[in-house]
Amino acid sequence: MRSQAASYASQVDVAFWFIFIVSTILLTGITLFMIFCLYRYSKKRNPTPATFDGSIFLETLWTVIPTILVMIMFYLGYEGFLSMRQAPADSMIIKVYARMWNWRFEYPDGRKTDKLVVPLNKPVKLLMYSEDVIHSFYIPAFRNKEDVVPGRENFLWFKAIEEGTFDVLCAEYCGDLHSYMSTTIEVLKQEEYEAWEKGIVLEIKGEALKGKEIFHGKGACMACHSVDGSKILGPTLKGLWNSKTIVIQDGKEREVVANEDYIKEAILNPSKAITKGYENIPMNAYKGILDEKDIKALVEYIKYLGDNPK
Amino acid sequence: MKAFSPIEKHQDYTGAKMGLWIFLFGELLLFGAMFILYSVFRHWYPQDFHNASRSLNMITGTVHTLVLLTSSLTMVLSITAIQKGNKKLCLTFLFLTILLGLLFMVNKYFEWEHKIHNGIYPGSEFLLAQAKGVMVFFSLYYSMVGIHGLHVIIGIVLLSWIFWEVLKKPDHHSRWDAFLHKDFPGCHLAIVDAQGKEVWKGEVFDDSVKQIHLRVSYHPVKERIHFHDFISLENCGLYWHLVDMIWIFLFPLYYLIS
Amino acid sequence: MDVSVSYNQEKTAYPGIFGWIFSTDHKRIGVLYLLSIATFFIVGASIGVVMRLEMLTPGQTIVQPRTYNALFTVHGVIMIFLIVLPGVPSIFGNFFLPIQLGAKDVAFPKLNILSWWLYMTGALIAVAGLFVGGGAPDTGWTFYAPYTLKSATNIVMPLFGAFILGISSIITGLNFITTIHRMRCPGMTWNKMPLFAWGLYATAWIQVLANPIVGITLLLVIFEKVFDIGVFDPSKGGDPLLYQHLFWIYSHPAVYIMILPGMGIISEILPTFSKKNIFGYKAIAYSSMLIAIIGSFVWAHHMFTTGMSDIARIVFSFLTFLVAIPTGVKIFNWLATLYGGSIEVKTPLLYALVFIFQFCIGGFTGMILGTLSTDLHVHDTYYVVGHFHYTMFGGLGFALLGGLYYWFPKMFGKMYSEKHSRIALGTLFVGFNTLYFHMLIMGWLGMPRRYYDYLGYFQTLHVTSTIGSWILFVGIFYMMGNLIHAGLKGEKAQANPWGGTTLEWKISSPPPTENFEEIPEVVYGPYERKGGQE
Ligand code: HEA
Ligand code: HEA
Ligand code: HEC
Ligand code: CUA
Ligand SMILES: [Cu+2]
Repeated sequence: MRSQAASYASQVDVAFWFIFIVSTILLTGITLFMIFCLYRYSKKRNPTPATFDGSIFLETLWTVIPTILVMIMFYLGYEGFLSMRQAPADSMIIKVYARMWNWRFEYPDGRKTDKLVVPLNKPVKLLMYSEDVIHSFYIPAFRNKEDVVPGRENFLWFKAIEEGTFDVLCAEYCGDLHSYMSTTIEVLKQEEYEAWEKGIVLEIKGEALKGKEIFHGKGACMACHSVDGSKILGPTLKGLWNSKTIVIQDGKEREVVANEDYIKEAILNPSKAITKGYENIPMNAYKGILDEKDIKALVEYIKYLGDNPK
Repeated sequence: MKAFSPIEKHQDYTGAKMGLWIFLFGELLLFGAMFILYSVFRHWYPQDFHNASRSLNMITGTVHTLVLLTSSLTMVLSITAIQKGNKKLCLTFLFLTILLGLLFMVNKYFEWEHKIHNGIYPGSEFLLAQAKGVMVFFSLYYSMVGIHGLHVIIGIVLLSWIFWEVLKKPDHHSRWDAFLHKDFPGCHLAIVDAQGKEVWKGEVFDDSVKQIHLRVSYHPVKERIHFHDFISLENCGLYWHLVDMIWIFLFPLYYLIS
Repeated sequence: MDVSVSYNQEKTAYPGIFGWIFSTDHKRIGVLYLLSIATFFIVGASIGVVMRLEMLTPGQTIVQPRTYNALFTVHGVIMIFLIVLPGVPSIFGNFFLPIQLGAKDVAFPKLNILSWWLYMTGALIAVAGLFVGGGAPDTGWTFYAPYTLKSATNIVMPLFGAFILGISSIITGLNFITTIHRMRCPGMTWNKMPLFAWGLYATAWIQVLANPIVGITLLLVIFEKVFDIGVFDPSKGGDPLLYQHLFWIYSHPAVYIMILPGMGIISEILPTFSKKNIFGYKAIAYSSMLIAIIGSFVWAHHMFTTGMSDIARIVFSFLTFLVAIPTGVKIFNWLATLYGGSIEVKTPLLYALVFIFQFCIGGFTGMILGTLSTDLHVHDTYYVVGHFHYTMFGGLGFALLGGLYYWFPKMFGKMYSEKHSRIALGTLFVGFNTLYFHMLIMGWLGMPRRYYDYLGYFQTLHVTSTIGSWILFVGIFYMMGNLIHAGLKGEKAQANPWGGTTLEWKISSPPPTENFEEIPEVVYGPYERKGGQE
């Protein structure tokens, strides 16, 4: 997490440490001076107070020196800011859609994902749109964030210079599950990235496609379930199909196979059998919200997720 | 007999005026913020604003303006009247001002009633189907004109209150007993009338006078507003002028831009 | 009439409590404000402690997400609108401004009590809003559109409450401006006015000029929710960023409404206990005005990440740095006041020194926030939360407590225990820094604010911070106990227990109803110790 994973991150840190050090020196000086005065000029040691009460020289001194210091601070921030805002012309453009409470990404070739995968050392420019309220796309490891404002196109660019997986958080308060609105950025070497690019372009059609739409649309399942193996609020649905899971039913643990019936029950009536480890997070029941056809499509989609691991 | 110390009546005209001016300045900023909103949106949606403003009736707007301008005039006249000491005239003009204020509100009511009847109000199906700039235009129109209307109502309430205050007659029923216990060598007691003319004058005190017992029955003036002290009336008047002035800005922005 | 009867014993036209809540005496109004604000503080602070408990572990500790979101909103609203904004002007400004100016009351005593009534009405409407309709608001104290427009909770009532509080604040402001212009006693030129009055004067102007803007903004949000107009809602052609601009045009200057009178208190305490004239009187006085003026043009530093144009961000960042300079001038002049003094170490002085220390941390973290590149990283993280608790609580809060200790003998005519108040201060100091310094670290590491749940690696820091809140809790309890005990059982206070030089120390403790038998005349500067002013 402390890594400086974007090209400009070190510049941000330099500005930070400069201000930090100046502040520490000033604060220490101020504090020591106060303690010194309490000691040296206590009533006991200095019974008659001095009578001076002003000095143009000193006033000038402590106006000019801080002015110089803050101008340096401003300049460091300004310089870093320019690097953070000037995206190279050859940046790869990825669209980011934010909504309560998840992120979706759209690649130039039309692929859609719910986590961001980018190549190492290549500039990427994110064009960001919100569908409801204001969110903020925040990557602590890159030291950058930009709000995603409805009715507006904002951008954020970066060049990742370190391989690995980094957290993406929502930094603008957006309602109940604001703190769960997270995803990751995976930075891959160029070759790995290309492999990933090929791997994920899966044919998805028919009922499964409809299921996917419901998953991201009407059902809003993506708010709690990932399809890539990561854990958001609820368990991931990747690889769920026909796997064995442990559920708690009527207070007892039980192993079940995630077949069609089980999944239908899990959607319509989730509180009946609760997946182990999720006892405190209730999933809302979809009875009356989704109809038979929708459920069928969702099952197809989950089946598809199971059949096609990454 | 009860002993009294004369309690100084604190009257600071400049202070009272100053307080009101600061308040009016605040009011200006309140509308100022909305005028800024207006200009930003108009800058974004010039065409939509142009189109939307056409549905506002210029004649109604002009009538509004004339009514308010006249009311400002009557307000000034009523203050001039009290300065001259003519309370009756003052009250008449004040009454006219209030009447004109009410007329403005009635006129406004019919204008809005007509609009709402035609389905032009925030959140109406008709508006939701319009261009964004048109929606914003009417949002601003209703907010700004509405808040201005609220000010007119507050103004009317204030004027009615001050009307009541002006109406108050001097009070003849209380008595005042004074007991002074000080020596004023070289002074004399006197009674002066409202114009400052001496009505009665006592003898000069010399050193031998050590105590003065004075028993006066008089008619204290309970009326708060008279030709000598009309700061409250004046302040209400200033407020009224502000309300008028804001309308003078609203009128071209909404009714005259097309 | 016997002029020597103190204000709190005087027979009034109404019996009992009515003699207070209908009083137009500025001192009684000050005490009314003190009691109301202390009550709200206990509520707001308790909510803070509950929030810290929730943050003890990731995931659910004691409450649901929805509840947590309501908690920080209500905490923020209470703290900002009910406590720190009215705080010093309403309590100490009311009580001491007329006395320091040598006047018998403020310019408009009736408006003054009206402002307290409006304050209570606004506060009660806001608080009642938590229990009716959709329940407590969950938007954060900033009420950002369009989330606020979408939230189903009861937002209209708190907003309307805040609107009324704004009117109350405007009235206090214009009352103080007029009082300062018109009611200074003979001889008190502008340059002989106490620095506390200068702080209030700068603040009063911001109150009058900035409040109407937030007033209208809140009103427009209410209209959007109730009448469906669309000025901030993008789906109706409005713009959410305009909301933020209007909100911060007020709310940034508001932070100086909070801090300037607090700094005024510090400028009173230091010369009194150093037994020395204040160093650089004019610099301190005029820097208040400078802060007020520059501070009015930096609001968009709260919006560096909103997608505002890059030029605007650069300009606002530049202006933000300028505020540090007059603030620094104050700090250095205070230090120079200590230098060469004959210092008597008493609780109020210790509070002032703790204020300087903590406020500097608050200010320096403000520099990191004002720097463009670092703000993009720490905006809306716990770093900001740390910053504003350091400035508002560590700065203003401690200044207010320092003022309370400084003027307590004057206000209530009783002395408190020096020993116990020092222990309380020590506890507060340790608790405060444990609680909030760790927030700064978490923020820099990337912990966003208003987060119900968090990633596991922040837990150690969250736990430490929570422990700090318990220490703070003990400290505040101790402090309140100490003062309440003093108020009931304390020794009688002298007219001038500290050897202060301003006018409030020239009258008895507690002050008589009319303050001065005779309007005094001033010859020397407020802190000058010559000509028998000792
Ligand atoms: C009392 C309240 C108070 C005060 C006094 C301040 C003072 C300052 N604040 Fe703070 N601020 C808040 C209350 C306050 N703030 C609140 C409540 C928020 C958050 C609102 C929210 O989002 O909920 C906030 C948020 C906030 C932000 C937005 C952060 C974000 O959301 O991304 C910024 C950004 O620039 C900022 C900057 C500053 C600066 C530059 C000062 C300066 O005035 C500080 C100046 C002081 C010093 C610098 C120290 C003393 C000076 C010297 C010793 C001289 C030498 C110094 C140097 C050479 C550096 N503040
Ligand atoms: C001056 C203002 C002020 C003060 C004093 C405080 C005090 C405290 N605040 Fe603060 N806080 C804000 C203003 C303030 N706050 C604001 C504006 C926000 C932003 C809200 C938003 O995001 O919208 C915020 C947000 C905020 C957060 C961030 C929430 C989030 O983003 O998720 C947190 C988290 O821990 C917090 C904690 C605390 C704590 C633990 C205290 C404690 O220090 C309180 C300390 C006091 C006590 C411990 C004393 C209690 C004592 C008693 C009750 C007993 C006394 C009784 C008798 C004598 C009878 N506050
Ligand atoms: C509010 C968050 C939330 C939403 C929205 C949500 N779920 Fe869930 N879901 C959960 C949680 C938490 C669990 C685990 C607890 C349980 O089994 O009830 C779960 C469990 C499940 C399971 C069982 C998984 C297993 O490992 O046994 C399936 C299948 C499922 N959800 C499908 C869906 C579908 C399909 C939708 C959308 C139509 C959806 N969920 C929407 C939170 C949610
Ligand atoms: Cu999305 Cu917070
Ligand atoms: Cu600010």
